[in-house]
Formats: sequence, C-alpha cells, structure tokens
Amino acid sequence: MALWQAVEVDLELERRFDELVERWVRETGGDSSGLKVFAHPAYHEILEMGQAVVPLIFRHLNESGGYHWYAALKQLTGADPVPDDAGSRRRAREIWLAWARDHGWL
Amino acid sequence: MFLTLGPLELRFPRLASSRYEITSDATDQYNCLAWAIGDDGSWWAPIEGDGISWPDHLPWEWTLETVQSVLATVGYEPCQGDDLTDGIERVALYADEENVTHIARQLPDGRWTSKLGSDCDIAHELEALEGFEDSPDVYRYGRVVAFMSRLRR
Repeated sequence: MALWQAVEVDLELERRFDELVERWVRETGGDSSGLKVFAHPAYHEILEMGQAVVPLIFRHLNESGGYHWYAALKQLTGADPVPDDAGSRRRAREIWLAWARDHGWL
Repeated sequence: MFLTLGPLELRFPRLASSRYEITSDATDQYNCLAWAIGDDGSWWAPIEGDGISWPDHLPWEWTLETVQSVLATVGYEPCQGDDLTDGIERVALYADEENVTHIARQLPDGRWTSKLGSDCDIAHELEALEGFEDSPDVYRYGRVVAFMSRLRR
C-alpha cells in the first residue's frame, strides 16, 4: 500500500471514530445506569474497528477526559493495568494513560 | 477536564419550563447513585469496568428492589413523600416501565440535586426530570416511584 493510501485510510478511520463517539456520547450521556452506554450500536461499531482505534481512544481519554472507555481498552489491548483497589475513576484514568505512554500508544 | 454534551435543555426538555441551576461540569467520573450516596469518585452500577462500585451480595440489576437494597447498605430506609425535614436526607427514585433510571438527593433548602448520567450536576425540581419521551436525543427517566431517607451526614 502506498503511503498516501495509508494516510487516507487513517483519516477515514478517524473521521468515522469521531462520528461514532459524538453520537454515542450524545445519545447515552444522560444514562445513569450504564445499561444504554454499553448497549449502544455506536459503541459496538467502535469495538468492531479493532486495535486500530486504540490510539484514538487514548487520545480522547487524554484530551477530553474520555468517556466509558475502560472496558473497551481491556478488550482491545488485552491489558488490565488497573488494580481492583485503585479506587476512583480518576485514578483509573491516570493508570491507563501511564500504561499507554509506557507502551507507545501515546 | 470535562465532556462536551451540548445544550442540557435539548436532552432534558422539561428543565426549560422549570427552575434549575447547573452546579458542575459534565464528567463520567461518577453517576447519580454515587452522587446520592455522597461518592463523587466512582460509578455505582452493575456493570464491568474500572472505578465501578456495586455491593458484592446484590444482583446485577436496576430493579427497584435491588436499588433500594443498595441504598440500604449506606443507611437509607423507605419513607413516604418528599417533605423537607431538619436532619433528614431524602432520595427520590425514578423508574420507567422496567427499571430504576435515576436517583436524586434532597438538598437542605428543599431543592433536589442530580448527577445526570455522564452529564453535569444540577439543582432542580423533581418533576423537571420526569418524562417518557421516545427519542434517542431525549432521556427518559420516567417518574418518581419511591422515596428513601436517612439521617443527614
């Protein structure tokens, strides 16, 4: 594949990822139970995009504070860096971002 | 660091005709049940994920009975009505046809405070979050179906 083709594919992936995240957050942001968040079709389409979206997820987590990404990160990376006693979600975010930097995702 | 979710009154239309106040930025750090309990660092829900809390001995479901049992673990007991009483902290449980959808906590001035999912915190009237609108952009918290109370902490 020529370089320009690879860039085009990446930009298309990023555009689709951004669309899906915008819809996912807009349509589930008020869900207090979490049930709609993880059942939403946009979330499942993101998961189906595979490891290619991992850098985009970490970027979203880093720059906007993220959303409900931790289960997706576990599934897509196979990693589980947050100990059960980590406590807060703020701490979980810090641990995931540190893990991403250590492993070259950020 | 906060999420951008767009105009609040588009997602909760009844707020537009009520008195309410936004009291925090949007964040997914905690949800309504955590906020009712007094925990602003984790998400209280029967789901997988980091920073999630749910009592080990209770079923993974949002039925009224189970959510009341969760609240009982932190001192809440069923009560009648939403009267403001010195020294007493009340929560109101919203539900749709199947599950509890939301919990609001009464403030000492009689208003109610809610964490709206991954959205912001607001001070509001109970009725302003009720509704059964059928649109993906509008949240459906149903109606208030039960109250619980405990000594104010």
